[in-house]
Amino acid sequence: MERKRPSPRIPYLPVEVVANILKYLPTTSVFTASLVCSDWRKLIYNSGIISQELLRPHLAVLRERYGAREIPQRLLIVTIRKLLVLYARQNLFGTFSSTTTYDITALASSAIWTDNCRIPLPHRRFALCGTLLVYALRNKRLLLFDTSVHPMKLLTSLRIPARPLALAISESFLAVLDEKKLHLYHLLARGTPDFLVVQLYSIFIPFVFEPIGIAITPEGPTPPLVAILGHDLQLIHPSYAVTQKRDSLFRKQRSEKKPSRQEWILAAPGTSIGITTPIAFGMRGRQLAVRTTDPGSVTRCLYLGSAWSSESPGELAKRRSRGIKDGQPLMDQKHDADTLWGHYSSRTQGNPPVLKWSPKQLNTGEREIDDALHIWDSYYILTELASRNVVIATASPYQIRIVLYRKMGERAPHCGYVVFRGTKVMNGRIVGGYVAFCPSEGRLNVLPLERIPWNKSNERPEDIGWELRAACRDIAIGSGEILGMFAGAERVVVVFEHRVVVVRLWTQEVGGVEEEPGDWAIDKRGVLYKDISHANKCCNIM
Amino acid sequence: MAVQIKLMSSDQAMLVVDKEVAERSVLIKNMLDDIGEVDEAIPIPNVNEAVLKKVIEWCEHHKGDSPSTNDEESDSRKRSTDIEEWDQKFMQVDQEMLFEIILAANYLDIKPLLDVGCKTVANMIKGKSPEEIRKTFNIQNDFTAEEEEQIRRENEWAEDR
Repeated sequence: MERKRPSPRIPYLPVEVVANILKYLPTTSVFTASLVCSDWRKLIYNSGIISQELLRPHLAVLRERYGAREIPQRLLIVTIRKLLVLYARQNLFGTFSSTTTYDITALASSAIWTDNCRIPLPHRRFALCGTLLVYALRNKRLLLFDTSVHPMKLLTSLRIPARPLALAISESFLAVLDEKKLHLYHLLARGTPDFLVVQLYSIFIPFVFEPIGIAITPEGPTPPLVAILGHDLQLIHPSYAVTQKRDSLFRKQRSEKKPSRQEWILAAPGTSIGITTPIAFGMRGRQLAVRTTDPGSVTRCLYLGSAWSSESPGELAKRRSRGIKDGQPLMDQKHDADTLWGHYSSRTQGNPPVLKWSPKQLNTGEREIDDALHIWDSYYILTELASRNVVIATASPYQIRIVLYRKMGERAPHCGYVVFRGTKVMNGRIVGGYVAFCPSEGRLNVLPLERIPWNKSNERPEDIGWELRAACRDIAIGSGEILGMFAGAERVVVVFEHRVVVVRLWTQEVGGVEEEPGDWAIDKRGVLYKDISHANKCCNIM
Repeated sequence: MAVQIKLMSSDQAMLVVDKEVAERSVLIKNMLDDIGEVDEAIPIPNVNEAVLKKVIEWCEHHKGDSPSTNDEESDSRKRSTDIEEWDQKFMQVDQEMLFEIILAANYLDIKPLLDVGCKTVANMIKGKSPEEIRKTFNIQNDFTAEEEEQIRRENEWAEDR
């Protein structure tokens, strides 16, 4: 008598057969398989002897990657699972991704305004950080989106006193600069229904000439330092804001007196950093990069400097002699605003402020370069202007190691690549760093730093680049001019004039959420629609 | 002439095979060892005709193989998913048949065939994302909200920024 059984599919196979299948998987696939369904997960991690049999062969792989010390003698499944996640993360990064496109035509059309600020408008409309996108509208509203959820979510619509000139955002702070004042907001209770935006201060900043951008120190427990770049670089410590507030409370009038420099301005003003027309301004860790364009002059320069420490040539030499290479240790130090402030004030006390921003021009000889981003150590990704090659090069001495690709557009608002430097996990090991770049219009490639052969010097830089690119999976992001990009641990956010594209690079959510790829539209109130035509219709009516 | 035996599939089809071929199945071999010579057909209640034919085809081709290799094979060889060409062709069947063959091989205890089948499936899993795997094999994502949350946490970066 034939036993009635469902048509054979994996879910109905006997456990030992499934185990037999999983046995043949390479290490990364064991990880992905563990996310497929609860039966498989149980089989891989939670089935006693079967799990041990399944995982044992992969220990050799993990041992090779992480060293024998990390691998316990006794098979502790929890530890193995952690290492497996880490391993998969390193190896699968950029391989699987899901892309969501948000049509922001409605937002863009209500964002246009005119003023006399020199920064191109598109650059000032929005600011990005790891999980947040803030978009400024003409009606003096800021829309704050959480990009870490799918689809992205409007957190709040914030009313601001004046149209902003520039925005900067970190995970918990938002700085807004307008014609008169600097406003700092604290974003509280993220991830809870009680999300709250509190204004920390709103202060008048004298002597900011033609600001071109602001930036705030990265995540820290205390309110950040805010840097305003105009003709010079000014740092504003939260305590200055408090003083200002108190003074105006007692005197009932705003102090227009120029404050003593030690108090709050750390870069020597007047000594302009020699930037003619800075157009972009980026801060990453303690590193500050300024992009300039000078139509009147032949040379275009890029300045890199450390905003938060005196990167004077002397200091650099000292660090080098101690065996610390340029960049890395500096970037990894704590970004706590107070620590940094302490660092400064201890050195400025009693002495005339000697700490000025000493930008470092990449010494490239005859070659003109642009858009340099620091990757690690003394490696940078940058664009060579003459050849339009996007290369990975060492700074000192300047040497091209890898030619990644040839940049398409002659002149684009954004360089088309971003660097995520990785996060520290396990004994200070930094993993997960990657370079995301657009080798051709509408395409995004993600290149994990682990795959870059740093010391391969016997091959042609073009060949290395070609090989690297061939191994990358193309992610379609749609064509158009890129206005802004941000690379986070989990995702790359690309902002176009009329679109925001969120590319999720990691399978964190794959465990469950039914993928709903596709397109969304955001209307001018920040409401999301699945149906694009609907949102556009709304914006036409209003 | 080789000794032949009869097999009866689940759908009552009679198949005649060489004893040598049928004995690639450890189940049948043990059965024959136990009961000795039989004229009657041996019932294979879990395997239908089409699948049984396929299985016999495989056994015919592999009848000359050295008897099932022992488990002491080196790890790397055991885990290699290389499949010889004939087997690859043989396994180019639809998914339903593929799993039928695997189930039959499992039931009939034909280890090399089972391994070929499992390797074939493993190759289909390799390089796919969990969602792609689910789609390929029509697997339901049955994690509960709590489980999902837990997985999310486990897979999270130390600092998720």
